[in-house]
Order: sequence, then C-alpha cells, then structure tokens
Amino acid sequence: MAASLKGYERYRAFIDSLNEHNVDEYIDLPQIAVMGDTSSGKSSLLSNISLVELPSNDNLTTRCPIMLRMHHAASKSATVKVSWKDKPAGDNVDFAERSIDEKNWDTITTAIADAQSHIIQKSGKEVARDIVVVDMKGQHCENLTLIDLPGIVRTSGKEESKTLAEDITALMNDYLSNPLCVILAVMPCNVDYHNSQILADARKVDPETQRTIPVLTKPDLIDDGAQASVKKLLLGMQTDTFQMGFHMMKGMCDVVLRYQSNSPLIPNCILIMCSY
Amino acid sequence: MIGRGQKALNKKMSIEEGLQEEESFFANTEPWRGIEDKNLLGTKNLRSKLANVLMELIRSSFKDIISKLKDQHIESLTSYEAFGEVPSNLAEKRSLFRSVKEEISKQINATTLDGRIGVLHNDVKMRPSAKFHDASKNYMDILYSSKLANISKVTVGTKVIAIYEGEEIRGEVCFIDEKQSLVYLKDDVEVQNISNQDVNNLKKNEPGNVIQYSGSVYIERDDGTIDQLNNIGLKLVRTDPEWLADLIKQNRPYKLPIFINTYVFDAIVANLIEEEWAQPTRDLLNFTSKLMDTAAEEFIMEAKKTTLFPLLQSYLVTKATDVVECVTKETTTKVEEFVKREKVAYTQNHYLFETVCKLRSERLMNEVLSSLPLPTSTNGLTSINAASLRSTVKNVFQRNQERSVDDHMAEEMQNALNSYGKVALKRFIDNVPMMCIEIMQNFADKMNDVLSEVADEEIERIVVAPSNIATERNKLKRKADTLEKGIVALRDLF
Repeated sequence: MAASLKGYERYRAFIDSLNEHNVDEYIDLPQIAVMGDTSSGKSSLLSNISLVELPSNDNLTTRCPIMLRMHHAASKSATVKVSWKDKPAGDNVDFAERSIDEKNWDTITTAIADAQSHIIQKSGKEVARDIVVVDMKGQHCENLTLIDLPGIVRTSGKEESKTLAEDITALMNDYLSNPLCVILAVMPCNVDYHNSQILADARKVDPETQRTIPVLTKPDLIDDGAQASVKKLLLGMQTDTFQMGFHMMKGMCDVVLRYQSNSPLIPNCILIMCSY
Repeated sequence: MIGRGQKALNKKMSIEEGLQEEESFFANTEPWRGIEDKNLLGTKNLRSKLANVLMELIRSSFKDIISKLKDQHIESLTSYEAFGEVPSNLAEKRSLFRSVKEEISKQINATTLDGRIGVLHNDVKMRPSAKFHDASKNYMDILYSSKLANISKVTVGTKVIAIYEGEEIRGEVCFIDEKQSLVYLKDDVEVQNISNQDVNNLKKNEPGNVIQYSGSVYIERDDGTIDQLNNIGLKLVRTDPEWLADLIKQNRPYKLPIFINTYVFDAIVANLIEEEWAQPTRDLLNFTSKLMDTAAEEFIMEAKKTTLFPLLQSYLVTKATDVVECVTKETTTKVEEFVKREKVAYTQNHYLFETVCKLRSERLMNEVLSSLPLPTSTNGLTSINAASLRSTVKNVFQRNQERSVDDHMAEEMQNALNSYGKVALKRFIDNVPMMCIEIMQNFADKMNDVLSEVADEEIERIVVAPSNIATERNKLKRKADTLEKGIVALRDLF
C-alpha cells in the first residue's frame, strides 16, 4: 500500500483500509454520515459537494449506503466498487470495479446506480448494509469521506415491503450508535425543525449534540416573514443549539421546484418526481 | 412541467452552475446576505468544514483505534484457538477421536494414580489415588478392630479369668487403668456399700457406672449403693475362652478328646472372616470402582479436546462406565477367590509358630513371676524362705494341673486363633487394597482397547459439534481474520 503517504493522508488511508476490510463491524471508526428524509435535499447536498449526480431520481431513495471518498488531486478520476458487509454466497456475486476518467465523467452516475442495483439484486434485500464505494479525485475535491444513507421512509409504497421503514431505521442505527460517527442531519428550512425525524434520532444518541451538524436546505422555499426565525436558528440564537453549529446550503433545483409548486395546475405526483 | 429528459438535462448543466447560483443567492438575498459568519453558508464552506471535522476526528481517535484493533485481534484469536479443532470429514473426526483416545490412555493414570500432573489437589478435590489411600487406611482400621484380630485382647466388657490371691476368678472387666496396668472386674468387690461422701457426690445414678476417686475404683449398683472394687494386675488377667470351650464341646467328634479340634478351628476362622472381613473387603472394592468411574468421567469432561463435542463426551463417559464395570468384575472375581481361599486357614509364616510357642508358656510364666516376692532393697536383693518359695511355685503349677482338659483345649485354641488371626489380618490388609487398585491400574489399557474397536459410523455420529458452537467459532474466526487485515494495513502504512 501507499507507504509514501504522509501525515493526515496516511491516517485517512488507514481508516479507509479498515472500512474496506469491514473492521468497522468490531471497532467504531470515525466517519461522517449524511442522513435525512427522502425529500430533505440530501441528494442535492451530496451532488453539490461531490459534483456528481447521485442516482436518486429513479428510486426516490438509495437502498444501500454510498461511501464517497474524495481526494484532492490535479486531474479528475474515479472508481466505483462494492464493499460487501453481508456478502451473499454463490458465484458471480462480485461487482466488476468501474474506472471513470475525466472524459467519461458523466457515466459515474450510471456506474453508481449499477453498483446499487447489483447489491440489491444479489443480496435479495430491499435495504442492504453493503456499501457502494466511490473513490473520487479532482481539483474540486476536499480530502473528505462521506457516507450517504438511504432517506428515512415514512410510509411504504405498494411494491415496498412493510418492513422497509424498519430496515432503513436499523441501517441508520448502525451509524447513529457509533460514537465516532458525525451525523450530518439534513432538513429543509420550510419544515419546522422540531418535527425533524433525523434530529430527533440524532438527539437520542447524541444528547449533548457534540457530533450532530444540522444542515438547513432549500432556503428559497421559506415562507415570507419566516426568514428571521430561520436565521436565528442558523446563528445558534434559538434555545436549541448544537455544539458543532448549524449550516445552510442551497441545492440547484430549489428554484425550479419553487416555480413548479407555485403553479396550482401541477398535481402532487409531479412534485415528487422532481425530488433530488 | 419538466420531463425526465428535460430534468436530466437541467441537472447536467447545472451542478456547477448551481454552485455559482448558490453563491450568488447567499451573497444577494436577504437575510443571508447580512450574515457576517460566511462559514455557515454554502456548499464550499460545508466541504471544508466537514474535511476539518473528519481530520480532527481521525487524528483524535487514531491511537485508541489502534489499541482496540490490537487488543481485540489477540482476544478473538485466543478465544478462537480455545475452541480447538472442529473436524469436518471422517478422516479428521477419526484423527480427533484417536487423539482423545490416546490422551485418555496416557494421561488418566497421571490423575488417578501417579500424581504426575501440574496441579496440586486440595481437600475439596482430593486426588483419586489419595482418596483410595484413605479408604485403604480406613479398611485396615476396621479389620484391626475386629474380633479375629483381637482374640486375646482384654478390654472393658471382656469376660476374663483372673488370678487373685492364688485363686482363679471369672468376671467381666469394667475398668482398665492403663497407667498402673490394673484391671477391675465388675463383681470383684473389696468393700461393699461404702459410705464415703466424696465418692457419693460423684454418683451418676447409672447402675454399672464406674467412679475413680483418690486412687480407688468404685461401681454404682442397681439399688443405688456403691461398692469399692479390687484391683488385679493386668498380666494376671486373660480372656476367658468359655465361648471356645462351648464350641469345642458342642462340636466334639468321636475322637480322643485331648487334641485340639482342627475342624472347629477352621470353622471359626471361616465364620469370622465372612462375618467381619468379607463386607469391608467388598466395600473397598466398590468404593474403588466408583472412584475410578467418577475420576474417568471428570477426566473426560475436563479434557480440552472433548469440550466442543457433547455427544462424544457422553459416549466416552458411557464407555468408561462399561470399562470400569468390566475391570471391577474381573477384580471382584479375584477378591472373592482370595476371601474364599483365606477361609481355609493355612500359613507357613514363622510368626504363627513363634507366637503360639510364646503364648503357651506366657500365662504360666506370668503367674509364677507375680506370685514371687518383689525385690525390697535398692540393690535388688531380698531374703526369701526357700521352703515358702518352693511351695508358691508348686501351688501355681498345681493349680494349672487341676484345670480340666477342656479348659486347656480352649486355651490352646484361643492361642492358635490369636496367632493365626494376626497372620490372616496381615494378608488381608496387604492383598485386598493391592487387588482393588487394579481397577484403577487396568482402566487405561482396557479403555484403550474398547475405544480402538469403535466403528467409523459411530465416530461419524458422535464427533459432532452442536451448531451453536460451530457458529460461535466461525464468528470468532471471521472477527480474527477481519482484524488481522486491519493489522496488516497498519503494518503496511506505518
């Protein structure tokens, strides 16, 4: 392995290696997990950070975690592979690693989607602990690893099993319960944060709010007049504060959605399709 | 309305544009525009914030992770190895069975017999060989206190013949003063109904109770009175062979009645051995058998190689019980033959002849010696009237001559039993424990023979770990392997 790595990069490579070998099953490893409702703006946040469009459009949710390992580098490249946590028995289970370079950068979304459906198909589960690992290099990349978890599902659709919500909760609990996991709790500004499911879950495992960062999304959708109180929240001037502070970001589709939602002729189903 | 293709097109164009749009949104839109701490806003700031958070997190937890990795790796490896081997096919099962068999046949003697084991046993868990030793000692004590071993022993309650003031008197011993070598008979009274108040105060109101007071011995009577008893020198008291005289009389053959009746002698020996010694002998045998059975079971259950296989354990325990039963049976036959042989009295032991000869003259010698005056001066000289001396000795011999032939026969029989009893006793306490210990000595070889004959189908059936143990073992294996990879990564990088 790269013994030439220096300083922090060496530490990070070591943690990556532990993750890859599933050491996290026995020993808590430091990580940042991105969590939120299906419509919280979580996908937008990840797309913005990674400059990669995550394949969430077709399914509404990802059903297995995606680990985005970003490394600052001069040129753009990426690999997509599967890291099994509960590897199914049998032949043809392995997923052939995909390499992406600057020229075919756009295929990365398909590669991730393929890896996801490979996991779901081979494991026969709707929700899997197995991880799609995306190693990404580029000038835009900070040295950062994020884990994208399936969005919290409140009601199951017809084709989804009744246990879907429970399975996702169980998967999230694996991460929530790790004391070294920083929880990036994503929620839209236009929803009262007291009602945020992910903040409630985070508070249970992190009552001192030492490892939870709430990220407010869709600031353009705040009702007129409500901006002041959201601003107070962001600045930590409300009664409920978080040790690591709030953050606010804005996804690219927010404006589009706003225009759509303003039209009384657009039925609700179209709004859902336009989720990110 | 935006269709799928349209939307994809939108996004493709807009991730980077979106970031610019976001930047300008926060720069131009109130109330965000007025926020001084720009670090709270926008994707770029979030990126670097998170990168710093992760870096701090990794740096601060690094040491702890490494020590956990190392500790848990060793821990899981140790636990895994503690499980031992789990064979998966017949050949492996056979090999495990063979090694268990060898362990039993080689090691079990170390715990049951030799003491060749690195553990010091204690009171709670005595070594089987030590328990056997105690049992043998107990066996010896039981035999030592039996009648056959004490034919001529004078104790409280023994019927005796005593010489008192030149006369033979019969009675029952009620007290023996070992220090002074004096014997007191229940009905040999010196002073009847004494009135000493001090002695009266020691009364227990129990007829037959003996009171010692101021160098004298007293006895309480049925009517509440107290008599003072005579003392007689221990050497002038001998057991009364009346019971032997009766037996001789009742079993007299049509022969000249001046010879000792060997049939009666043989029958007495046989009866006493059966009544007194046979049962303790069988008890020691059964005790040893149980001891071996328990020791074998404990050995099997504690053997490391068997812990994973409860079926194998119970199979071995059952086999061990069978083997113990088998070796016990063999030993029982030997012991019963020995007892049977011992019931026919015979020996060439010189001890018998020496003792018989000694006993024949001893009584008479004691009587003569005790009738002679004791030395009165310090130089051992005393003046004796020769005529009186001759008369005294003559009296002793005369008294002996006047005893009936039956009395003499009974005394001779008693001497013979006394001497022979000691020889037989020695043979029992030597031979019986040596025979019994064969159960423990022969177990290992016999067990080895039995286990060598176990068929493959049986081995296939019994050398099976229960699924939960197999699962637990696999889990540990997986953990150890996973952590091992972490250790390798650590070695590669640092």
